[in-house]
Amino acid sequence: MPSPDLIAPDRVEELLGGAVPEGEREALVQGLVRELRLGGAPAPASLRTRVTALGDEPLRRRASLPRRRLALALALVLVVVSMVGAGLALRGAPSGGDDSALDAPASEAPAAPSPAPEPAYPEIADNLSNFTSDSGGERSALGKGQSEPDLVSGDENIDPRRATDVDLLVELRLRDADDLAAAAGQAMAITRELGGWVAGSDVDSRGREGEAQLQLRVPVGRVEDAVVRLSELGTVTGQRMETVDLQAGIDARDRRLEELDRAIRIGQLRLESETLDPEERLRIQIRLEQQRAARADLLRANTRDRREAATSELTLLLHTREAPAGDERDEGGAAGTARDALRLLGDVGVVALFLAIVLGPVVLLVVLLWLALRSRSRRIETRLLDGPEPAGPPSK
Amino acid sequence: MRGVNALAPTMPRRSALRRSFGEAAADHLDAVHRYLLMLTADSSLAEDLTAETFEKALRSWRRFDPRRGSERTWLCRIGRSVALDHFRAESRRRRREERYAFAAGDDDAAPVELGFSPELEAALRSLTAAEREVVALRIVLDLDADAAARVLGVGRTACSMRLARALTKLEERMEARAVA
Repeated sequence: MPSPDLIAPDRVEELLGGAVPEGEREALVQGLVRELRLGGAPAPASLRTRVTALGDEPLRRRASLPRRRLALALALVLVVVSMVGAGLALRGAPSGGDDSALDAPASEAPAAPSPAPEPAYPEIADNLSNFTSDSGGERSALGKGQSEPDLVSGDENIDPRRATDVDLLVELRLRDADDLAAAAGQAMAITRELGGWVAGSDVDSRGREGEAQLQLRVPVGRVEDAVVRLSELGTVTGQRMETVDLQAGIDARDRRLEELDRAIRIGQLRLESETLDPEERLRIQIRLEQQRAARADLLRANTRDRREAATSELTLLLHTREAPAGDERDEGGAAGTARDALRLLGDVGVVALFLAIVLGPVVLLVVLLWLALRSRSRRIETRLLDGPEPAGPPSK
Repeated sequence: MRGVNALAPTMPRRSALRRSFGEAAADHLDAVHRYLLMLTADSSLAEDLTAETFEKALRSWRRFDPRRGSERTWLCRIGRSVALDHFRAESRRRRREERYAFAAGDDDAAPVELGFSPELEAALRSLTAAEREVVALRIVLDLDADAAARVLGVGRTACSMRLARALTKLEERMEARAVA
């Protein structure tokens, strides 16, 4: 609240601009202004020398962009890169659906487009001879969610001498229920023809639509043939392959078997020696029984694993559902490009929304912090200059 | 499009508007020193702060953009920042000292010559540092309202109000002295 004696700020500006003073008070103010403008101590000679010497020093040249612009550009690049990266990650992530695998190769390997649409089965067939198998007995799954280089560029190709459990899933779309029933029958026939058998089947072909699930066991050596022939029964809409290396477990059990055989032979020799007292003899006999039982268990486990590895479990899913329009593989031209662009824009939008939600509070916090710091700095500044002597006690 | 651009006023390049630091320093040394002398009311401190201001200005001379303000405004802003840093440090030092002992005080020091008549100097010394500062910028250095507001980091209206208060106070003190 200005004091009643305060000369109006606008009038002060006018007086500074040379307005004719009205009254004694304004004349005094203008006189003060005149004296203040004319007076003022000049800089001492020693200071002038000191400052002039500064100007003579050569400037260190720094080849740098203005820091603010550089930081802004970096931030912009980071945001764009993260948005594009997240968008690509979203596009490449498995959707969990069972009918979108057909476009996977096209979207995952854009650098090498195939000249004409081809059925998807060659991928699985290739994978069978080229898949990555882990030696630790862990399960590895290859399917739509995997990128193509992972599927085909494994360093360790399948070794026919190694026992491996291979589980496959092939999903086919048929035109109608009649085709589906016929395909199910053909699939069973193919399986038997290849030396395998049908472990289970569930075929529902009532009405126009239908679904079927066949659990097929196919000899490992014929899996590739089976996949190729089964894939020809309809349009492949999904595929998945899982492998488990069983050889490591078999090898470990073989080593344990050798140790057990040695121990059993030693025990038998000791029993035949006739130098043992009855108690010792009994103890060795008990141990021998335990070792023989363990040996039998190990042999059974090895047999089970070898039998498991001899055949592959192939799950064949048949259905008559239409593929979603977005999954049309042979779509090209302007419409396809526009749809791709829209999809990409949608993904980018999702990522932008995500970033806004995540970064929004952070930005708000930073702004609030900045305002608080600025306000604090102003308060300190006011306190410092609020006395005749700066940084001294405030004026009364 | 080219026609439109041709009609648009072209902004001169930053380097074309800028002269050497030595010339700028020689031209504005007195102004900056006067400003800091009135702000601090301490001649030796004002000298040190002026020298520090020009050292800092030399380091960032490359970043000075004449299109955004005059050399004098830019130098005064640096000077103010240097002075405030000093006052903050001094304030902390005083608080520390007061905790352990009575401040020695500079009360015995002779009044500083600001370069005005003794009456005006006495009246100026009775103003707060903030009031002296605005008087220095607007009247002694003759900066316009916008430039002074930019140096002070406040709005133009606040700057004018501060000046009006300072001048009113100054006039009252002068009048009181004349009556006495």
